[in-house]
Amino acid sequence: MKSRKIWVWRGIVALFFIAAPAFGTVDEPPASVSIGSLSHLYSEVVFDHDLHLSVTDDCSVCHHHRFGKGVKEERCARCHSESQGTFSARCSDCHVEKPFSVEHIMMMEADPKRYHIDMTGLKGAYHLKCYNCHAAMGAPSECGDCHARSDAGDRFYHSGIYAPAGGSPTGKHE
Amino acid sequence: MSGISRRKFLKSTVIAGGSAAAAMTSAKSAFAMKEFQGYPDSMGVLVDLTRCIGCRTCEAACNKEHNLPEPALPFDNLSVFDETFHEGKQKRRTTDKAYTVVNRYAEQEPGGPVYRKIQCNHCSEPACLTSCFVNAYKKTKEGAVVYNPNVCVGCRMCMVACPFGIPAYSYDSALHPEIIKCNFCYDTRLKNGKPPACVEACPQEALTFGHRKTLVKTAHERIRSNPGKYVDHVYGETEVGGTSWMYLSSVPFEQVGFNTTLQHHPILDNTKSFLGIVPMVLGIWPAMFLGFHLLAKGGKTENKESNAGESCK
Amino acid sequence: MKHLIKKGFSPVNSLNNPDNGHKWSLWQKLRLGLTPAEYFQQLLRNPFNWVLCVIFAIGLPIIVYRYVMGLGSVMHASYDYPWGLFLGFGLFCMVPLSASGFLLGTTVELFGHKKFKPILNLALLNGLLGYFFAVVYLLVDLGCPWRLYYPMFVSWGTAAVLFLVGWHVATYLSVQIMEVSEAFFAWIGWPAAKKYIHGATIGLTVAGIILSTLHQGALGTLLTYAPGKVHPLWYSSEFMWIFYLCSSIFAGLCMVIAVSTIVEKTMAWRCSREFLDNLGAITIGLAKGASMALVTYFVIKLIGLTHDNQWSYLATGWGKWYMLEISLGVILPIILFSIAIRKNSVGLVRFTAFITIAGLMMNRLNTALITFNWNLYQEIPHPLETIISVTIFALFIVVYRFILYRLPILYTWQSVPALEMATVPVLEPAETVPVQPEPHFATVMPSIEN
Ligand code: SF4
Ligand code: SF4
Ligand code: SF4
Repeated sequence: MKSRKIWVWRGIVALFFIAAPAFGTVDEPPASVSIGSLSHLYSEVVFDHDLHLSVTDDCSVCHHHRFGKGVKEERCARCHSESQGTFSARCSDCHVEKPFSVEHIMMMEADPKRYHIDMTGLKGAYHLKCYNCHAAMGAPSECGDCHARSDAGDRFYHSGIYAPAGGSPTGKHE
Repeated sequence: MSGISRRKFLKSTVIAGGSAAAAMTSAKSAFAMKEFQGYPDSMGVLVDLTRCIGCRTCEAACNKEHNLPEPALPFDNLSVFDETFHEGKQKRRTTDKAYTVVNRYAEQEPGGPVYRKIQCNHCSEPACLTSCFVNAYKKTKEGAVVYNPNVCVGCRMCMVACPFGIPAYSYDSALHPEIIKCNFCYDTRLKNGKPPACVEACPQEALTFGHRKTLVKTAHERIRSNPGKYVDHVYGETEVGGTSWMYLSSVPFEQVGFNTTLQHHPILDNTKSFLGIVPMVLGIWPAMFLGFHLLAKGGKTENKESNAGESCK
Repeated sequence: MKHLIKKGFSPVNSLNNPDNGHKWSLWQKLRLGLTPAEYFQQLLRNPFNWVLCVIFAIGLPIIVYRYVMGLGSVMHASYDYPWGLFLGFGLFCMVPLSASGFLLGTTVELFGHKKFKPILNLALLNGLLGYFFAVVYLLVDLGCPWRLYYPMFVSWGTAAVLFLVGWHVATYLSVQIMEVSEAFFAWIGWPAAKKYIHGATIGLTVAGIILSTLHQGALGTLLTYAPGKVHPLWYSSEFMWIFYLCSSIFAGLCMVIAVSTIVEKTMAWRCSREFLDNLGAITIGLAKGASMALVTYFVIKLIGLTHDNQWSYLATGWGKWYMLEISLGVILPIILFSIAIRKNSVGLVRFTAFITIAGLMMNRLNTALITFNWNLYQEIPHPLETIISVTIFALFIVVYRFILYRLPILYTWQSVPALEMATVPVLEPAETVPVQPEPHFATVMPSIEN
């Protein structure tokens, strides 16, 4: 794992795969994936797949039991060490964009025997995977390191030109 | 005061009865509440503290969703985590300008720092609701505890009662002061089948939205399948009778600002020993004291002492 | 007033002016039978009135300010301490101190202890005013005071203990108004109404007991909504209502002792001989009742401590404060009362009554304010909040005194048999009455000015 510390970072690493081209085949992983699902707050981010490919020797770090050297987590391995790989390598084929929609919640609850009831949504999957790894590896992990915020984003965070005028660090609080 | 004629007696009873009726209603509905176990389809949110990174996006989303006043500092300014109040005894809390805030805890702990988002927990049997004498609160079937400013008198009993110290009050308004608290985005989202704004905005999916029943299972499953990762407790599963918002943590809950001394049954229960005597007092007192009166009139006045002390036994 | 009495003046105590046999007019009655000049002079002569003036001069504008600028302008606007002095003092202290009405009502009307009859009206008035001013405090404290009637008529939160308190205080207030109105009808000269009320005495008294038992207890139960916020030593989900009910008994009795003491010292001229002659014996009698309640209270406090197993808290700083409260407010009064009763010492009883009242207020403020949020942080009430509280209390005293001076509370109304038949209030004197100046007063006037 230590070897990953010597990763070289080239530009902004993208996080969001929504608009990603399908890369369902093992042979041809995409060089990069551009993600624009949060375009209401940020400009589109480009995930450099090649770069990440170069810093790890095991695809299963991200792709569970689709590719790579077998599942890492013990509890997944119980079933998936021997199982077929997943049908798709594309995150969004399993991690849905709207995990908390009525339809999805009902669908998950409809089958009482379903095992994977606690699957994160797409945005959660990216961040939990990307951010947590970045933070653990000492890689850039501020929001702005990956996301270039748009004007609407600044407005949302009341930041940049929308920062509160003369805001005191301590609001009224009693 | 001499004779007590039938007519006088009846007149008295009516006067006493008027107030008795009100008290009866009060006691009766308190008992009707006894078996209430929360709505079966109540929604909830599971907050996983191990996922939260303190980005404050939820605060920003809530502010936007509800058109709340401009914050004192931008929502991406993390210096707010260093703010303390009352000689360092308190971190940030919900105010009349913020339905939710995130605080940083356990900086020194191995797994720290840990961030904790606070907002109304939407209790199954809310103390704010049951203590309100004008019924300003409502627990919707979706699980939200919502407040109606149009009947609120402003006694602030709910603020006293809320075990989590959530409701704030717009003290500065002379004409329209009201309680201000998270409403689970009920009006704008929940009732239309959409998740709350903060849940939708959270990048880390630290907030998981779903049926409360399911979330309880999910929470226990996360604890079970990640041995050693979590404290073996789902905060809010039973606290004060259960809350719709529940929490998982990797550090002991009391180190992240949770009150771990709360009772595990509804706050309302505490009033039951008193409400239990209400019907008795209403039923027994009139006959008993009229009896005393008749006895006393029967010439038994040798007891010269004030009987005041006896009325408390 | 004392000066006037020395000069042979006797304030209005019947429907008719004894000097000329005519009825007093309402205005004359309001002036106690003095001329405007005399009345004004006696007002100015009393230094206490000057103190009141200063309080009102400062306090009343602040109350106006509160309504214009909102609650936040006079309170800390704390979310952790939603209740301040207005409720901590105004509601939690005033209500138990006003338990006197139902206690003496029960003793005299139901148990037939005629010995206490002379003080009954004072006890009833004390109850009425205490509750009334608790509501006044509430009106200052509520965010939307104009919605005070909402819990009665607009929206019912029937499961709430506060609902019960609200209804009971409201109904009990009406009961007390009716009880006291007997004196009012006598004074205003409407005997038929007086008789009507008199007929309902027993009913009113029983209603009073029920309502009082319940809401005094309910006040304590209010705090069981905040377990963990109220310090465990002051908290008990099972016993809270008994603590509050029982302590209201000695509080109410001591308040009557205290008020009667002040009355005897400052307005003896207004008291009937019957009142003054019996006051000593009555005071001792009240002390007996109070000490019984105190002992009971002490015992159930101990039971409460044991039941909830809170002994360990006694070793903490809060424990010391708790023991101070119990020693000063309960144990010391029990000892002093028993000495006083044995020695038949009215003076000591009175002294003890004041201590007991202080102890009770300490208890209420401790539960609702001081130890509230004991594991969070302490909060000192806002200065303006304190000023408003003092102002309202001053208002309480003024109204109290105003009524005591006039209505037959401390003295007996001299009724004229023929007038008992009148069915309408006497507001105007008979046409032919020469109203002023009454010769009797005219002769007094010069000497007053000296
Ligand atoms: S957390 Fe507080 S405000 Fe929210 S429902 Fe529970 S008692 Fe009410
Ligand atoms: S549920 Fe809605 S109101 Fe509550 S904190 Fe989240 S965004 Fe704000
Ligand atoms: S948005 Fe999510 S990760 Fe960010 S502070 Fe809120 S709960 Fe934590």
